[in-house]
Amino acid sequence: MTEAQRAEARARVLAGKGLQTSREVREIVAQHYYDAHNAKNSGKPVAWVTALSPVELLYVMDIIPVFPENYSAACAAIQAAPPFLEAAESKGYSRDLCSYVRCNIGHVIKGGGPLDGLPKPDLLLATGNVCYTRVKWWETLSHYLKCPLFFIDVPTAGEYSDYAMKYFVSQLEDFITFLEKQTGSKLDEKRLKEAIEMSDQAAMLWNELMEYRKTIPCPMGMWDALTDMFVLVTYVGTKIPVAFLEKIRDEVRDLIEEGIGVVPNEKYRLLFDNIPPWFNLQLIKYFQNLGGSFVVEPYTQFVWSSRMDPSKPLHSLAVKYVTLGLEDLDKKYPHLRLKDSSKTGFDIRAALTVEFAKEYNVDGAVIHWNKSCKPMSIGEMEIKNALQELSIPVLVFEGDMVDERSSDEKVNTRIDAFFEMLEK
Amino acid sequence: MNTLIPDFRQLYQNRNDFLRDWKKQGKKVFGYFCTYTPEEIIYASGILPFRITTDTASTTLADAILPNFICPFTRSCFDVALRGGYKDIDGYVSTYTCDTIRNILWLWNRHIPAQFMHLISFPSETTKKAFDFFLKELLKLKGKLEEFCGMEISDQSLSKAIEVYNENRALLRKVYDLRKGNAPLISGTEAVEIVRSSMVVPKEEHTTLLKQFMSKVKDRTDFPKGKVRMLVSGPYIQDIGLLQTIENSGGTIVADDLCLGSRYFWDQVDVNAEPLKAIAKRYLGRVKCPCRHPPENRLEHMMNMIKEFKVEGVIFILQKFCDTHFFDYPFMEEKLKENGIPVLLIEVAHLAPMGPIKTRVEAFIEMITGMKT
Repeated sequence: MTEAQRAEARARVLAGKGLQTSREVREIVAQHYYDAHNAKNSGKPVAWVTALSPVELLYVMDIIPVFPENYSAACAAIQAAPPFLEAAESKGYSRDLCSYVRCNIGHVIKGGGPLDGLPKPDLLLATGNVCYTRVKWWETLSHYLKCPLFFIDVPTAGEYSDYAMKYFVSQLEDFITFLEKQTGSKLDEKRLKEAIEMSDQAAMLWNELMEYRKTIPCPMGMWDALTDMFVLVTYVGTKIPVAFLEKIRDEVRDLIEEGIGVVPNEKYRLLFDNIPPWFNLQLIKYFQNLGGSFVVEPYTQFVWSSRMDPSKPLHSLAVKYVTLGLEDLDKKYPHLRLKDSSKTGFDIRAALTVEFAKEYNVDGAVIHWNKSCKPMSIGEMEIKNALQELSIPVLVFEGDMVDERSSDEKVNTRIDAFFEMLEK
Repeated sequence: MNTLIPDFRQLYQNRNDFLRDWKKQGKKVFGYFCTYTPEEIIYASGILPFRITTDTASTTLADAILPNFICPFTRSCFDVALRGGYKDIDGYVSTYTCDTIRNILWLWNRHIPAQFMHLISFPSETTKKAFDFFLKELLKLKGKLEEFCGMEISDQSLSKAIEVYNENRALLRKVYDLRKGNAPLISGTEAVEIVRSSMVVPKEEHTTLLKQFMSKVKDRTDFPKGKVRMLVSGPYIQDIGLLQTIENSGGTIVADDLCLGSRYFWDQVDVNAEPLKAIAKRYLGRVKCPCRHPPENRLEHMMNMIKEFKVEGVIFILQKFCDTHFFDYPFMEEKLKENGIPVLLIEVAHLAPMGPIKTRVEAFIEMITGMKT
């Protein structure tokens, strides 16, 4: 970066517009969909993939992954989701179903959409590690799209037994065999190792960034984290996230050196829980204008700092995608005893959220009671209570990640009241 | 009719009194939430498996903890527990079937801790590998139960449990067969009450009642007199009155695809295989609930029933916010309609207002009657 570029970046941050480097994500997103369409047109296989699937493996096998979850979020962010939601509902999909799903099924039914839509898939791949909704979603897609459906079953009710890990690994092996048959080319072990190596580098960088966010004032905001995460979701295992996150890291380091926060006049350090309302990321700005800086979100903390061991590629993928980062979190926070058999998946999440609140010196917390995500939303009241026990004020607002019709119209008034509480 | 059915209704209504007596005898009872719980293993350890159900009170305590977009079944179960309704339960075993059930168990554990809490991971697939995984899950449960009870669960006691459960299931099949003929001998409401009561008492006791019932039912003269033969599909039914409303509106429910009905008992455990393996095979291969993949299996179950029971219309009674059923619904509706079967969807909250439902069911029945003439 030249000195002039540096000054420009700093001016941008000082004006409260977020990291200069994060702006590049917009182009990366456009390029991602453009490339996927091109690949499809040139006869390369395209897979529709659930986020947190072993993407590393797909790149090694020259399968182009696209992510309906991301596409739904992207549609919401540019207010393009409503016609898709309505299209799905008119086909009988209940308005109470997850809005990522409705938006995506609507897209499949209706066609079109921003960025030329998603290229038609040759393969559907779902990994059952986050919610059961995704199994039903991909099953529904298979009815419409008539292409092979491959599940990587992750039946863990919170306990990560050795045999659950083995089951996952053996399914990966089946998946590899399946892809080898489909593509006619063998898995290149060397390329797989490299992909795991790059995935590990990205994880280290992400962890480093999350650590930097503990700095007062915080040099990287929630908008940056949510935006930058796209590069990990879609490209992990390639060079792209490594190069991108290095650039982000350099910008963040610069800011720390100069004591500049990503929110001008950081007054209150805040935690955000749950998936945000993608159609209204302006909300972050509203907090920012009142001096609120989101310094940590559990949503961006899990999984992406999961370290990988290139000498054990499939095992590393299992550790990352089955336990969703628990292995490393356990090492990082041994005093929380996250792997005690008495701890349920929710206990783990609650303990970590409270820990983050302490570690990041949080003054307040904002919880999005997101109608579309039951796994994250059932239990939010427990998290609220746990944070309040630490005398941390908590704002809970009801809403949805994609469907604006479910959002709380009075949210700004409630935010104002929340700030009054923080000031006390 | 009145002399035959009340035994079962009372059995369910007096379930808490029964539990108290059971406990007085120094015996233990475990609650379960979902019909995917391999009860046979719990039974083999000498513990009574007891289905956690709802009541008809408005929810209050649960509302302070749960978001408003949680299915009324889970909400009501949790509310009953928070009110102290399950204080006689010694432990809980359930299966991760849907996200809501899994998460509620996690909260349950924090609010109403019990001596034993176990959540079984359930594969989505039915491959050999999925089977091996599931078998290990059952072994783990068995081990934990053995530790809890301080005794070994032998193959012999598992085989005995299988025998007891199979006998009850076989009799329930016979009860269902009573509606195959042109003049169904029992109503659908009665059938579901019979199944429901089997979930809260020891199977042997239920089996004894079933045998008595089967010997008397043939003499019945007051058959249900509905004009249209219905199949009802859905998750748990909180208010059995809903089924009664359908049957008071001119329909006879001759078959069902319900969690409180056929899906619970349709499949048997193979007595010629190693007991634990046979149990694993049964639960993995049984008629699927929408919370399992794929829906084609359940459609087949429904289509078979439609043929065997000469069904003329299907009513889906779905609980608001029950994701997995709502995922399947458009697919099921389309496939049934392709096969010329009229479909009605009724979405219900915790306590369903019967008036509007009755009007809709009547219109549906009239439509089908019109098609017949």
